[in-house]
Amino acid sequence: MEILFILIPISVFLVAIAIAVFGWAVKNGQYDDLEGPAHSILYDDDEDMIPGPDNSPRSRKQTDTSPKQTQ
Amino acid sequence: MGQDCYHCGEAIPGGFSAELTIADQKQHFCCYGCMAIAETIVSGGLENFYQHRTELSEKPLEFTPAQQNELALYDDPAMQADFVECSLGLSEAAFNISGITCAACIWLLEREINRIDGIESFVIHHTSHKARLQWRQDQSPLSLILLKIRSLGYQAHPYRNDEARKQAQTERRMTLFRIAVAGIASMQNMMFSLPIYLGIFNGIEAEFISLFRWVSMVMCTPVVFFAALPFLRAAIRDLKSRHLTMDIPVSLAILAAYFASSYITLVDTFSGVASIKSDVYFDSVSMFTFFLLLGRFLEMQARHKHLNSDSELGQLLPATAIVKTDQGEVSKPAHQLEIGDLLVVRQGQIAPADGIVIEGESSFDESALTGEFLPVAKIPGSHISGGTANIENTLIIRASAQPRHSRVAAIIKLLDQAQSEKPATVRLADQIASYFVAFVLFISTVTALYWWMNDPDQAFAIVLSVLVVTCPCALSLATPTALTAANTYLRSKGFLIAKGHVLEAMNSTTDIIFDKTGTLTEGNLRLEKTETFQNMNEQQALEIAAALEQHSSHPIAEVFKPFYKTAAQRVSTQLGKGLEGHYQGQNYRLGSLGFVAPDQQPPSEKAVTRPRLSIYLSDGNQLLACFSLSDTLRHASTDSVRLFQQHGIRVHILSGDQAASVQLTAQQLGIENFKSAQSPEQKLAYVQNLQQQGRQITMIGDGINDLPVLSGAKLSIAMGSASDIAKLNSDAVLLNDHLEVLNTAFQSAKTTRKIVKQNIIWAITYNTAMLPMAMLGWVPPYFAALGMSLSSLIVVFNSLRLKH
Repeated sequence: MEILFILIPISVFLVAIAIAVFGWAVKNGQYDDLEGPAHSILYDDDEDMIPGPDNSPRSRKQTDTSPKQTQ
Repeated sequence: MGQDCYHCGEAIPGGFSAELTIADQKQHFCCYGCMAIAETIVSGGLENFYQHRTELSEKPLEFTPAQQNELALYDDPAMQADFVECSLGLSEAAFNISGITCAACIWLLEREINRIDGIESFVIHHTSHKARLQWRQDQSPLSLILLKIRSLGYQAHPYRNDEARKQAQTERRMTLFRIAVAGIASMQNMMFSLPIYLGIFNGIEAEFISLFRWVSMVMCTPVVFFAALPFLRAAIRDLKSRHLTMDIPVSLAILAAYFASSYITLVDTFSGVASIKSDVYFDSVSMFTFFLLLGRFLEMQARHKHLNSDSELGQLLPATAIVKTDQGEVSKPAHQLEIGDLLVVRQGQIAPADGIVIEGESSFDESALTGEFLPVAKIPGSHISGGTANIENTLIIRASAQPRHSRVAAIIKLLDQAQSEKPATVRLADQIASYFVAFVLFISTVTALYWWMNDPDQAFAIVLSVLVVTCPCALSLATPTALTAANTYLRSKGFLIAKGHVLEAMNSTTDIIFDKTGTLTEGNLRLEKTETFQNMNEQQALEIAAALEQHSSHPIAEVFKPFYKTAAQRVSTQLGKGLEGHYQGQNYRLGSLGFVAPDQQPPSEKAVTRPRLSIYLSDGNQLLACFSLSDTLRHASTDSVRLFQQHGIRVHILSGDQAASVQLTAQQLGIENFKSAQSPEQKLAYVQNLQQQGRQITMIGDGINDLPVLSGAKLSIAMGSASDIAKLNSDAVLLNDHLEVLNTAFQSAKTTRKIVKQNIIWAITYNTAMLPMAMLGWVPPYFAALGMSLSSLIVVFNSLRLKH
């Protein structure tokens, strides 16, 4: 049971790290928008990451070049 | 006809045709603006937008080349000075985007804008519709980006980061961080106290008890001195102002439990007998703080939601103005305008400053300021207020005041003043709390004195038990839990509560004051009746009227739009009188009676005495038809007003509109108290006068002209269609404009009050029943803590009943 005298301080240390990381995230605005991420999963904007039939990634650049300057 | 626009969902005017093939299907549009936007969206490969969106898009505003030139003004460093930050060639700015109706709009904007060269990042916040843009000025000028946003059908307004907003953001982030600290600490503390609680039965070595307590203390310290800081600060503030509130017992409980536990931990460690007889409360302290913070955070979220978007005064007035100088017409930032500048205000534009008309004749939509929805004719010499919209012709006005001294700015100032004079609402729980707190403090002192004299060894543990037993946990949860449950319920019905006192203020309301236009009525004209003379049939008459009105942008023209078939020729406008033009080879006049048929008597008595708006059609000398137009009542108005009156609430109408139309509405609804043609100042004075007589006022309105009175009334409710700034300054918002929800809300307020009362009675009964036993030393502290949690749970479950 004496191991607790080492393990518990370690757990306290880990908690301190967790709080520090959370604080960093809040400060960087990660939690400013609590709604957006719920929607963003529905948008198919990861096409360039999905492998095509020939196993090469479907490049987003193909769709990207034409409308680059519409104005 | 019969088909709606693919982009904005509005009816497609008859005879108009604009088609586009999207995803192999022909889609129709109501105007070229909508089609152009759909074309931009589809050519960018983003037709998914139409599948993703859950709400229809807004109909785009007209966009003229002159407005494009104005956008170019945003490239001027002087213009950018107050909202763009530059560092290392990278510029950063924030915008409020208007026109966003659902999450797909955000997706569309982010995708399109991020494709432009030189854009580092463009991110839109989902709740506030605030966009943050980082880009390289040398690759893309700002005007190009703004133009792109416009071409997609949205509008971006520069967002100036003022102190209040920064403060709100810091407050939000700090609260989140505090919640995390309290939450994580309470989880850890639970883990350490569980063995101690279990140890009561199993026996546990003293050194481990000591270790667990020390670790708990370390965990609890930041909770007390950081997470619970808002409560401690509020308690000190309240003590200074000699005002007993819930924050005082909350702080007292947190501090007493913490210091007592720390004391026990220290004494037991050094005396070497860590016994489970003397309990510690570090877990209770952390959890108590965590729940209280969570409640505050939810309340804050509700307050910020919907209300932090377009709220700036700057958005009521345009940012740029066209000034006529010797060198021609020059665009100029509005804040650089000088008194005496000659301003050009084109059709559809908003006057950037107050001024006097020098040249031209037009009519102005002043609804933003006065609530009057019919345009007002302006001729040379007339006064124009900044923030009002020009409907018909180009005007030249001489600025008589700088934008910041305009009428709109004065109203905003009045608003601040009204807010500071708003009668304070004392919460029921706070009222009880102040007595309760005094009582608890008194009892604890008496107990401490008695035991200190008789049995000093036990004195501390017993006083602690007294404090824990009387810990106003349940009492402090009584109101917030009930309010949160009621808020959630009402929110699902479309009634958004922004401030804490709304439900309680509803209960004490004795008088409800409605604005007329846009509140009791729809706020737009409808064709009510068509009378025809000679051999004209109704269909024909409407067709002719529609043909003539096709050329007008007056709100009356909207009424005839559905009847449009073919265009009329040579249409001319007589300002403030009517229209004249050729339709199928015949000359017609449409407008006021004096204009269309000067020699004729009104066709019937009724048409004159009735306070409706009558439009006449003639062929130059013979009267052919008479159209009666009126602003229709919302369908729920009658029932809603009757219900309020049945509950003994006095209903008033306070309107900026003309006497006749206000009187008609009042008669239709059976309202005896009404005032017409009221200025914002008069409205505020009316309400303040009633409040001085001890009446409890609820004000319901929508326009900028209602702003001061909304702020001045004890309880203010804005319609969902109201301007954003009106919503921001109200206590609650009726999101869907259904007046019957208002009755539901008042009903729900009554139930909430009942539940709150039950909660408070329970909490106090429990506390007072346990108090004598604790004073006698019969209640061990851990039992007191357990009872406290159970009592809180009962309160929470009772409150949850409100959700159904």
